[in-house]
Amino acid sequence: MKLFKSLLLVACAALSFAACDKDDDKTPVNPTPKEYVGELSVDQTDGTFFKQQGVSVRYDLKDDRTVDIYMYRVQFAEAMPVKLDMTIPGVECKSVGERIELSGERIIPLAMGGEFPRYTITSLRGTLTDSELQLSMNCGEFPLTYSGTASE
Amino acid sequence: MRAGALSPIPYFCRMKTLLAALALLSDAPAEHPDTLYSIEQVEITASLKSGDPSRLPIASTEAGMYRLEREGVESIKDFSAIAPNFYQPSYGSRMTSSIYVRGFGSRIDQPVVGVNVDDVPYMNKNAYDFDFYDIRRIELLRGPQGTLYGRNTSGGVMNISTLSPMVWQGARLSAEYSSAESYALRAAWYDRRGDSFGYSLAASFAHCGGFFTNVFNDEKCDRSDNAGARLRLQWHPSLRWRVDATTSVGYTDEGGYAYRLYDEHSGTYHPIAYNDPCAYRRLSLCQGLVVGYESDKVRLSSVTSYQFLDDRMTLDQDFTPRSLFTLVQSQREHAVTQDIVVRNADPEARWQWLCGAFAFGKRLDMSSPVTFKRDGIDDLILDNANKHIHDQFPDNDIEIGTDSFVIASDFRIPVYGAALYHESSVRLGRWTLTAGLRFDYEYTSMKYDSRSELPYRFNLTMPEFKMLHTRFAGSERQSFFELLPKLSATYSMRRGEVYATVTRGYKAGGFNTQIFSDILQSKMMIDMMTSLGVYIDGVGTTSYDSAAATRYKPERSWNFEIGAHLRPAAGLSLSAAAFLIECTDQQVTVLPDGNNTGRMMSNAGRARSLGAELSVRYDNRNLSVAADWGFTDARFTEYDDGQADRAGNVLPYAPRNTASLSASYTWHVGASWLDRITLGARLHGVGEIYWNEENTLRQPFYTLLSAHVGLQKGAFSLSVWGRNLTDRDYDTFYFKSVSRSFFSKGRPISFGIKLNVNI
Repeated sequence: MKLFKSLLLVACAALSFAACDKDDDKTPVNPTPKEYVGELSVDQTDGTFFKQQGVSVRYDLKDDRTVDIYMYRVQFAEAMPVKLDMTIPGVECKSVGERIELSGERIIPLAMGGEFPRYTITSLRGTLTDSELQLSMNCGEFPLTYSGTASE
Repeated sequence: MRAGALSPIPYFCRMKTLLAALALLSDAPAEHPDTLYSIEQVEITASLKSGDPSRLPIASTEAGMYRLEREGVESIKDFSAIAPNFYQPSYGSRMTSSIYVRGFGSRIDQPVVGVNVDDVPYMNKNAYDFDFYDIRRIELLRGPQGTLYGRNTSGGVMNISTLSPMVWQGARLSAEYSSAESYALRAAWYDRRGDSFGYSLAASFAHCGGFFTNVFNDEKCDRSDNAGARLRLQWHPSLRWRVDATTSVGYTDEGGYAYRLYDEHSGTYHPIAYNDPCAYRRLSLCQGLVVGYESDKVRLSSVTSYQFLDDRMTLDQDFTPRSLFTLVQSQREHAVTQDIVVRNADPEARWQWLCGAFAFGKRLDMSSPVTFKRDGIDDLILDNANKHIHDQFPDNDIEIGTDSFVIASDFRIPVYGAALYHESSVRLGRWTLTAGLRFDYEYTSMKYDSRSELPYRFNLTMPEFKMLHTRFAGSERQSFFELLPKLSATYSMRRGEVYATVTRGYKAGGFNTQIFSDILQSKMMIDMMTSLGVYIDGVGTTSYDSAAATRYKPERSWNFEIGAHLRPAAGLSLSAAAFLIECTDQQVTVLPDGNNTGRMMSNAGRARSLGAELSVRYDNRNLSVAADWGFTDARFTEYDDGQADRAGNVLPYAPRNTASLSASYTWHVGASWLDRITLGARLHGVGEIYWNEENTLRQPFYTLLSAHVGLQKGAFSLSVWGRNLTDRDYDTFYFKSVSRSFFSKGRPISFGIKLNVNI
C-alpha cells in the first residue's frame, strides 16, 4: 500500500511538473491544482516577526507557463483587523528536476476585488514540490516567507 | 319593536327557561324598559361547547347587549375595561393589538386567546380587532380552554354572539360624532318570515380623524376608516333542525403607529416624527354555517367556516425623520374550519357529555419586502462594514452604488390541524366532577425565498461597481401532537358554586418570518466580504443560528385554579378565582443584538403566574354597579436572553393589575317628552406594566375616568359620553428598533354624542 501511494505521488508530481517551462521538454501538461497549508512569517521590520499558522495556498498553472498563486485569509500584522484573500498572478515558473522554481518581480497582486498596488510583490522566489511549497517575497513593505506542506 | 318569538328548538326552549331563571337569580333586574335590555332577555344563549359560564368551573366575564352599549364597549379592546386580567392595548394598528390574559400574551404570531363569533373560530389574530355592532352577548372564559377549543386558547376564549333575526325584528340605526373629527354610522335591518326563517343585514362605517400628529409632515398619523357588513340567514325548518348562515365582511384603512422616540438617558419623549408613510389596510371575510340537529337523546352541531384575510402593513420601520428602512408586509390567507359537536340532549341529566371533532386548514401567502434607503445603507450596512476596513485602509471605503435596495421575502405557510375531544361531567349530589381530553395534531410547513441584489465596490481596488446577488431560499416543516386534559370539581350550594380546576393550555409553534431580513442582511455581508476576499471577525455573523431561528416550538402551560360563583342576594353576584399557571417553552419575542432589523419568537423561557380575580355586580331596576379587579404576578422562572439571567423578573407587557369600577343609575321620568335618564361613570385602572425583560422601564398604575349621560324617549335614545376625562398621559406600547426606544401613547381626553333609533 505504501509503495502504491509513493507511486501515485510520483505520478501526480510528474503531471504537475510537466506543465512548466522544463529545460528539456516544452510540452505543457495541466497539473492537478494542489493546496498547501503552512506558516506565513512576516518581518515586521522592527526585529520581530508575525507568524500566522494554517495559511492555505493554492496555485493554478496558466497556459503562458506562469502560475497564479492564491493565498487565503492572510494577515500581515497582529494589528491588522482584516484577513485578506490575495492572488499573485503571473509568477514565472521553471521546472528543475522534481521541483518547480518560482520567481517574480513587481507583480501587482489582486485583493479586495481588484489590483492592489500597495502590496506590490517584489523579489519573489520559491520552490514547489509535490509535498512542499516554499516562498519568500516582499509584499509591499513587508518581507515575508511561507512554508507549507501539501494538504491531504 | 316587535318582540321575537322564541326559537322552536326544544333545547333552546329548555335553555331559555333555565338560563332566564338563572339570570333572574343572579344579575337581572325584574323589569327594565330599555330596548337593548329587552333584547338580552328574550333569549339567552350558550355557546355550542359550554353552558352558562357563570355556573361552570371557569373564571369568566359576560356582558349582554345592554351593558356593552351602556359601557361603550365597541371592540375587544374596550372589553378590557370590564374584564379582570384581560388586556388588549392599542399597539398602533388593528393588526398589532395583542391580547394579554393573566400575565401571558404575545406581541407577534400566535395569540393566547381564541375568538369565536357566532361559534366560528377566527383563525387569524390579525382579524381580532374589529368594530362591534349589534353584538348581543360576549362571554370571556379565562384560563386554558384547550380541551374544547384547542390551539391558541391558553389564556382563554372569547365567545361573541351577534343579534339574531329570530330574536328581534326591526331597524336599528345609530349615528355618532366624537373628538378628532370622528363619526360612525350604523344601520341594521332584522326581519323574520313566519316561525322558520329570519334574516338580517347590518352595516357600519366609522371614521376617525386621528388624535396624534406626526410633526414631520404635520398630519394626523392615526386616522382611520372602518367599514363592515354582516348578513345573517336563519332557518329553522322543523323543531329538530336549525341552520344559521352568517357572512361578514370588514374593511379597515388606517394610519396608526403613533410612535415617539424615547431618550433613555434623559428620560424624555420626542414628538412623533417620521418621514415614510405608515398605514394598515385589511379586508376580511368570514362565512359561517352552523347546522344543528336535536333528537331526543343527542344534539348534533356542525360549524363550517371559510375565512379570508387580505392585509397590508406599511411601516417606516425606523420611525425617525431619516430614511433608514421601510417595510411593506402583505398577507393573504384562506382558512377552512370544520367542527362537529355531539352532546347529550337533556341538560338535566346526571351525566353530561360532549364529543367533538375539529379540523382546519389554512394557507398564508406573505410578502414582506424591506427597503433600505440611503441613510439605512450608510448607518446600518456601510458603517458596520467600513468600521474595520478603515482601521486598515483609512482613506478607502466599501461603497454601495444605489440609494435604495430591497430585501424581498416571500413565504407560503400552510397549516393543517385535526383534533378529537371529549368532556364529561357527572353530578354526584352537590358535587359535579368534570374530565376532558383533547388529542390535537398540527402540521405546518414554510417555503421561503428571501433575496436581494445591490451594486457595490471597494473604491481602492474596484473602479466599477459589481452586482452582489444573495438568496436564502428553502423550506421548513414541523408538526406537533398535543394532549390537552382538563379536570375539575364543582360543589354547588344554594346560592352559588365553588370549584377547582386543572387544565392544560397550548400555543402552537410556527415560523419566524420577521427574522428573514436580518438573516439576509447577514448573508449579504458575508457574501460581499467573501466576494472581496476580506474577513473580519464578527462581521456577518448573527447571535442566532439561521436555520434554527426560522422555527419555534409550541408553548405549553398548566393552569391550577380555585374559584367561586356566588349569588348571595337578588341582583347581586360575586365571582372570585385564584390561579397558578406554570408555563414551559415560553414563546418570547427576541430582538437580536446590535443594529438588527428583525425580531423573532424563541422558546426561551419558563414562567409562572400567580394571581387572583374578583368581580362583583349588583343590578336592580335603577342601579347597576360592577367592580372587577385582577391581579397577576407573572415572572420568568428561567430565561437567559443572552445578556443576563432574567429569572425572577416580571413578564413584560402584561399589567399586574386591572381594575374597573362602574356604576350607572336610571331615573324613570315618564314625561311626555322623556322616558328616562341614565347617568353612568367608570374608573378603569391598569398597571404597572414592565416594558422589557430587564424590567428597567415601566408604566406605573394609571386610571382612566369615563362617563356617560343617556336620554331615552320611545325608540330614540341620545347619549353623551366622555373618555379619559382627566386627560391622563400614559403609554400603551414600547419597542426597540435599531437600538432606539419608542413608546406609543394612549388616547387623550375625548367626547362624543350618539343617537340611537330602534324601531
